[in-house]
Amino acid sequence: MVTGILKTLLINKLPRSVKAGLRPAYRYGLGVRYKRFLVRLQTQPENLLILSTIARSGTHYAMFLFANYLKLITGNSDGPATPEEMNTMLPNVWHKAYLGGRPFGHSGTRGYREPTPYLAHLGLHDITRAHYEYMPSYWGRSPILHLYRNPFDYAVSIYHYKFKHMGDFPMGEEQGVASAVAGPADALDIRFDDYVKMYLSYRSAARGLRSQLLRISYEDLRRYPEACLRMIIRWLGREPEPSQIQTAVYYSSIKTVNQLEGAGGLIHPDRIDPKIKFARDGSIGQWKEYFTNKEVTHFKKRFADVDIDLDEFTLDS
Amino acid sequence: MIGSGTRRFIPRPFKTVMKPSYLYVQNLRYEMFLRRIGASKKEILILATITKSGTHYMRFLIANYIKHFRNGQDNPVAAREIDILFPNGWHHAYLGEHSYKSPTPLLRLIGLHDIPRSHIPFQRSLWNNSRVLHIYRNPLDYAVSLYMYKYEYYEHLSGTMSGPVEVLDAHLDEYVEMYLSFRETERKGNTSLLSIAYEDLIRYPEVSLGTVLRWLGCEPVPAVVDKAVQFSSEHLTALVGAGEIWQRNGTVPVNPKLISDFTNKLIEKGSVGSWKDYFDKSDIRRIEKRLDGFAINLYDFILDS
Repeated sequence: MVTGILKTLLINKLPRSVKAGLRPAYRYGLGVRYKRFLVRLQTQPENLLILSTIARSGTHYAMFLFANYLKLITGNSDGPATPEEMNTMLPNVWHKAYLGGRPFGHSGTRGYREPTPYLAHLGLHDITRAHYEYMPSYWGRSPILHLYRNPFDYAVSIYHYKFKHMGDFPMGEEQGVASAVAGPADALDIRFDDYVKMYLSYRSAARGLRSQLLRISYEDLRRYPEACLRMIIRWLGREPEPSQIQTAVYYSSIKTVNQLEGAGGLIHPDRIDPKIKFARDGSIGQWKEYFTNKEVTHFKKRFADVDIDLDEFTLDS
Repeated sequence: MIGSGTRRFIPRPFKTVMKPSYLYVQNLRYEMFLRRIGASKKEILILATITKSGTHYMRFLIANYIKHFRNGQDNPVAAREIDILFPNGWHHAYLGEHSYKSPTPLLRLIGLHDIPRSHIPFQRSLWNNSRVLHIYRNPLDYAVSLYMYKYEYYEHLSGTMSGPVEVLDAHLDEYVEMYLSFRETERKGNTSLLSIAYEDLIRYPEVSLGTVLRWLGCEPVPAVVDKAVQFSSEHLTALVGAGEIWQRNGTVPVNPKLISDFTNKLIEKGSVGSWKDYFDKSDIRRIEKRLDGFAINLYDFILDS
């Protein structure tokens, strides 16, 4: 594709209207390049499960469940998958691995790594994660598992993981606003548009009969992991083996993952500070300790204005 | 179209050649019918289940959800009411076009026109662009329920089968055909198909109903889901995977005590694993072997509660 100086010129110097006019061709080009990359990997879009989630909604929990189940079902398990193992088995972030980084850089910047061959047991080549809104042009033929969480607990989690310590480690794109984030309410304020766009895009794709789209709430996944994992495996056309589902859930529990992380395992190798725990307690309803009644009323109204009724979410355990 | 009497006399090679045209015309006629009733394929959720696997329990769950969601009503949907709210069997109502009745407009609340039920294998050409919800159950408990409620307690067929083992021997091929047609469809992808095991449906009704609603693009309201589960669980025969229209409409004489005694026994045992009272080790080995022949592992099913 267009690279280097020419790309910088195109992005920075072209008038907005010209860029808008060129966008369809640019996207088409990216789409072609994406398909060619899949052909080179000898795979099909149908064999990529896009684990497309709202951040802090159980992405890594789902990855642990998959990793443990795959190890068990292929007879390769000798205990819980460690964070390193899980990251080696399912190493790819979709945009970095398949498109070449953000905002979709040239193909030389691709960070693709070979996922575990155990995935063949589920008829898949890769389970690759993303935190984007639904992208039909790329994902039109891929199965999509979408996880999301009630926005208040999302805010608590993102505050602790992203914003709370950001002042101590000034890196990343949100560093400029970090000092203004005093708590989860501020974090939700900053991430409001992102959350809404993501949530609505999948809800509307589901309403529009997008085939092979499964939406699961973090709250259900956390409270009923066995039922959810079985449902996911069936959705992929396999009959889940009951005792292995049970063991995979046991191996992936927050308690086990916390112990593994405590022993030095890096769940998210790119995290800001290795001392900040990736997995907190993950409980449902922790937002009540952080949001005042006034803030709850304020956000309920903001969400209602974009056709999202907060009372429809699981806000309590 | 062509009656079943005529169909029998058409030579097989001729039928094979004509099949694509036949399917095309059938599909066209189906779509025209949908247009006539003001619906689209997208608004039809086909509840395509293996019989005795919780079809009626799922109908009650959805019916109670939409009624409570709309009205906040505090009464469960009654046994006979369910057939008024969701009156259609897909095959008869939409292909036969004879017995179609208007379903409840409350279905609009979840973006649907109708939830017809069906007990046939996946119909790719006719069901594409519709949502298909598939519910199935382990084959051993399926046989127990089928024997009790389709044979033993059904006056016209009572005494024709010696027990669940004979029933499974007679119905296994049919079960496998249904089961595999949905599994294969899921593997191929490109459909809007969701499968739920009956065993999960009764153990985790909140998750099952919630996932179905999310799959439809709705956000399940926790309090309404809880209420729908509470109301639906009052219909014991539906809960144990044994709902029959003749039990509800009184068209067939039944011995209610026999039915309720057996239903209560199933409830006590959690509805999963009732097969243990009927199948011995040699029966299980035989069934296992027959299923192996279709590359189905009996122990992949949830056989115990």
